[in-house]
Amino acid sequence: MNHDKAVTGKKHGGKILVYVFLQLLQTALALLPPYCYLLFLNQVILEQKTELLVWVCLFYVLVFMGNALVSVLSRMTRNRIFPIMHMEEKEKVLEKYSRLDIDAVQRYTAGELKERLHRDTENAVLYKEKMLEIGISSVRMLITAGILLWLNRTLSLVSFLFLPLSYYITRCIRGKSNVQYEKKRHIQGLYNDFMIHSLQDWREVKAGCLEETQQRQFDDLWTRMGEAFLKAHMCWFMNRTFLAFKDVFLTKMGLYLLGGFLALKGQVAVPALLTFMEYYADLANRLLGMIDIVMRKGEQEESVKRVKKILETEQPERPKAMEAFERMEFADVDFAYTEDGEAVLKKFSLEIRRGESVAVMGESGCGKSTVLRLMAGCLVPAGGEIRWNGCPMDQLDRTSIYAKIGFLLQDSSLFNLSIRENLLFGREDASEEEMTLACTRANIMEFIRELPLGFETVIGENGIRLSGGQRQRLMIARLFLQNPEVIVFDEATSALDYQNESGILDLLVKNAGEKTLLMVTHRGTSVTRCGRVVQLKTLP
Amino acid sequence: MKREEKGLPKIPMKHIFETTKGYRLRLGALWLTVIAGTVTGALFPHAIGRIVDEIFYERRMKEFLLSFLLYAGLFLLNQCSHGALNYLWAHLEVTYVVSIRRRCFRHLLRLKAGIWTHIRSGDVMKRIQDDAEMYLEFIHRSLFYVLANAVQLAFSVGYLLHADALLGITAVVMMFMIAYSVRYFTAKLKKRHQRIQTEKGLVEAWILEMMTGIVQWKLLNAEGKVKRDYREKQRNVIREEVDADYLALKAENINQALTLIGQLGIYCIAAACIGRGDMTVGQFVSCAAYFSTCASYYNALCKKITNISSNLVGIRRVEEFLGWEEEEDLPGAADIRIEKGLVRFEDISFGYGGEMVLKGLKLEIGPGERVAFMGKSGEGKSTLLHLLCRFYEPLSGQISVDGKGLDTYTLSGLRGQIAAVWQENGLFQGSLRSNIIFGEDRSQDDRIWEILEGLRLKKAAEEFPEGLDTVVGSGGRELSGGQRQRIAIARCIYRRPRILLLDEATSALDEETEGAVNAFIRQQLPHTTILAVAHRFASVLAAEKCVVIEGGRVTGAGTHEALLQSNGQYRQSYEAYRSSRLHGGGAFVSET
Repeated sequence: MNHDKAVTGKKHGGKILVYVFLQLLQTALALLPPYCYLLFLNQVILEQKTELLVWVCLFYVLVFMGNALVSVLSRMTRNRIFPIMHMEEKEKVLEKYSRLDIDAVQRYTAGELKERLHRDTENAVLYKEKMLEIGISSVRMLITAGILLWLNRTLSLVSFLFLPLSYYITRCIRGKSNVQYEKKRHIQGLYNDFMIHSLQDWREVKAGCLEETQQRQFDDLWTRMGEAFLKAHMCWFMNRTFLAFKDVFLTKMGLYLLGGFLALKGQVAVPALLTFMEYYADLANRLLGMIDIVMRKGEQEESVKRVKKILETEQPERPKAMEAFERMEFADVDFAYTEDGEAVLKKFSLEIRRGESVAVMGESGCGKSTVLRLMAGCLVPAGGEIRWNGCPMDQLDRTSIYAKIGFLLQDSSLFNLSIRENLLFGREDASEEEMTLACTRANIMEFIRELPLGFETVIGENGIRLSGGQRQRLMIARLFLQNPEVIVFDEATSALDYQNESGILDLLVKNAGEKTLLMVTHRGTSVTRCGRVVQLKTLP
Repeated sequence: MKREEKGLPKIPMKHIFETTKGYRLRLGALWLTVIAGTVTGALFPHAIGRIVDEIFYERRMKEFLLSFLLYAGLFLLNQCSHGALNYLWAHLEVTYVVSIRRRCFRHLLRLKAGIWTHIRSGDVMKRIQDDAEMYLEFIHRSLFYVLANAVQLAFSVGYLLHADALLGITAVVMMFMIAYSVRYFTAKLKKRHQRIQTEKGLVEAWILEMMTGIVQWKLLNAEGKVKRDYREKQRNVIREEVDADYLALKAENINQALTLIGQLGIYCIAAACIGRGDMTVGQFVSCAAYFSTCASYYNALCKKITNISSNLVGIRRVEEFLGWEEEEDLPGAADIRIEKGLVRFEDISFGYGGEMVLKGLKLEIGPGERVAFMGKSGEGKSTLLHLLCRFYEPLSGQISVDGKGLDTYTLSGLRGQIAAVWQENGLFQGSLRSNIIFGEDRSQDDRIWEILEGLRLKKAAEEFPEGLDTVVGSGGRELSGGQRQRIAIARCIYRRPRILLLDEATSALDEETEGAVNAFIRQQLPHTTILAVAHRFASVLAAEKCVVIEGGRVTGAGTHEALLQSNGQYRQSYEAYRSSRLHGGGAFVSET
């Protein structure tokens, strides 16, 4: 946190100072009305100096106007700080996501990534804002305490005795509600993933008559989430009640009781007692507000931790950038999906040079896709080395690889956005003509032209409104736009019918004159067009 | 009170009332606790006034203590009702609100396929999670609390009027002025909030999309684009939020100014009354407190009324969602057993809204036959399978099974006898076992292993750390596309359907495994009619009959030999396939 504060402090330091100043000014102004009230009670009501009434009213009005002005100013300052911090925090996390290696981000589910980027960052900034609020509130409480002492010492001292109790009670209960919130968040993550899957696999659900099973899982998740919520809420409420009991029942009423005795004995004037109670109410409210912040802080602190954790995820230095592609090689690469699981690749070696067309073949599960995933950095070899242009992949900046290599892997998909947006992922500044050309080459332009919205057509959930072949051709168009030096295909054409496939393969082979082509396939047609075939065997 | 409500949009009371079925008693109890809390809270200023008077005028210790006890009692009652209120609220939150969510989810599962393809996950998830919460928010905060505030208000105003007519009238006039300003700003803020909510939902959906496809954009080297897009979207939302914030501040300041005017008016009148001796200091203290509470009740009302609009936005989104069309059985549909599995497509025409995909397609598939569909992508092969599952209704023509029109079957009856494997297969959250039999019935394990063995998955599954109990899919063990496809096939074999649909179901397998899988399916389901969309000849040749679809019609149907003779397109494809097999040799073998 300290580190964080230092960073934000540097960036927004000036603005935060102005904000704090304005907040303090607002505090000072807010402390004036009860004093007016004291004047009013003493001078106007008791002494019957009616001529002072006008002045009292004027005083009130001036204080209000000052307060209004300061509140506008302070809100303006606030809005120049915290929303921007929100943006910065989010961008920091997104930046981190984009820096992290693929195998590192894959350890999180989409739901978790979203939760961290979206909600946790918001909570983390909210946390900072609330901490600042606590600071300002404390100053206000100190001043109020001073005024209370000035009004009546005995009463004040008694009232202060009750203050430490609040913190004690709060601390006791805080831990409990944190555990419950954390539990709820965990189930929420499971729920998000469950929903994403149910929404994406609706055909499976419908055709498989899985409605009942799905409903059961849904109910179960909500039951668990509900339990955690109920517990967390009641913890929060119990704490609040304790505090209310202490603040109102013990303190405030105690003060009225004590004040009443003192007044009856003539040791305190009734106006002073009433003013004292006004100030004391302010003090108690601030404290209650602060404790509320502290109580709710649990959830935010967890968020802060998660944001911090993701920002601190170690990302090895990759000092070198890959120049134009010359060759890539696997040198004695070992790989297994789990540490103690069976090896998929053992001492696997392969070299691909510029301009080559290579087909990788073999039965299902023999590790063809694994080879490509290793190349893409989606997986990390357990032993051996992958080298690009002779340089170990560990040292290469990944973006410099992705900029030159076009991957179309087994699980490649389209985004649930318009066709144009999807194509722009290939190259952001692609012009209309370039897009049309790429689509024509991928044999999908005709189809797009027939759509009423053309490029603007939004692709349904995971591209469901397109057939498998259309989807793949669109991905190939995206690949053409990207115009990489090397094309890495993983069964990219498996859903195409034979004629379409030959068309696209012809195109790819035509390009392979200068481009390098590596494809995983399990059928003959593709192989005829490749210069070299690599046959993989399942390990015994 | 009615005044504020005039400015509100129409509230779908009937719909909300109907959702409360089964929870009305508890909601009633919640209402009682709200009222109890309100009434006890409303008496506080009066109690304090009495204490002040006892000290100021009477100076009698006994009465002072009595007033004090009254105050203490009120406080305890107040706290108890708050406790009950909070518990009831949280309880309803996890029962009543969850019941709405469950209803939404049940509805979601029954939505028409045509709607499914148009919805966004993020949007639907928001409706089910956040928007559903608005029902209780609305009932609790908007109905109960607004009502409770009204009671408090009436009590306060009554007290003020009783103390002094002029004082009461001043208070009421000021209240109405505040009410007017509140109504004005509420209307403005409502629009803003609606816009922000929609925009936020879209951004959230977009983020989810990007996070789901994070590997995609990383591989595409599109980080820059994602970051820029995100900044743009986020900036728009923040801009709107800041604008709305200023407007809210303006409203707050104006309301406070009006409150102050009222307060000062009351001070002046009270000063005069006390001067005349018509009012005690204690009464003044109570009056001032009641006026300030009635102003704060107004502010609370203002807040709640602002919330009503955003609550209603949520409720309306859920209501709209619940109104989306569900799949329905035709009247007279029955659970008919498919005896033979004879499927007939009669002059089927169909399109997804744009151009027709199927144009008068005719086809008959005999009982227990295995038919492979060939044709270019987008020619409607998958569509045929969708129609057979009744995801969509044909625009003209009829599909019949065993000579009975599809709509004479109930949906669940029909789908219970049809199984389908689509090209992409997700895994469901849970163990490998539950992904195949949708339950944890261990007595079926032998059968599962048998199926897995036939599908050549046994070896892989045996290596899983916990065997069939291994959690697969997201958060668990990731499986390859081919493995996922075979698990989906295992699911279908286990179910023993009368009709099996395979939509490029073996596309991620190599030819050898594909052949084995096809043979195993046939062996396990000897009498099942199988419709397979295939692109590979390994699957085509496994079928007894092949159907070529072109231009939305059947252009060729028959056995492999017959088609080679009669169908040009078929012959061309086959030759391409054969030549590739011949030239595919000479492989470089890399020992792995």
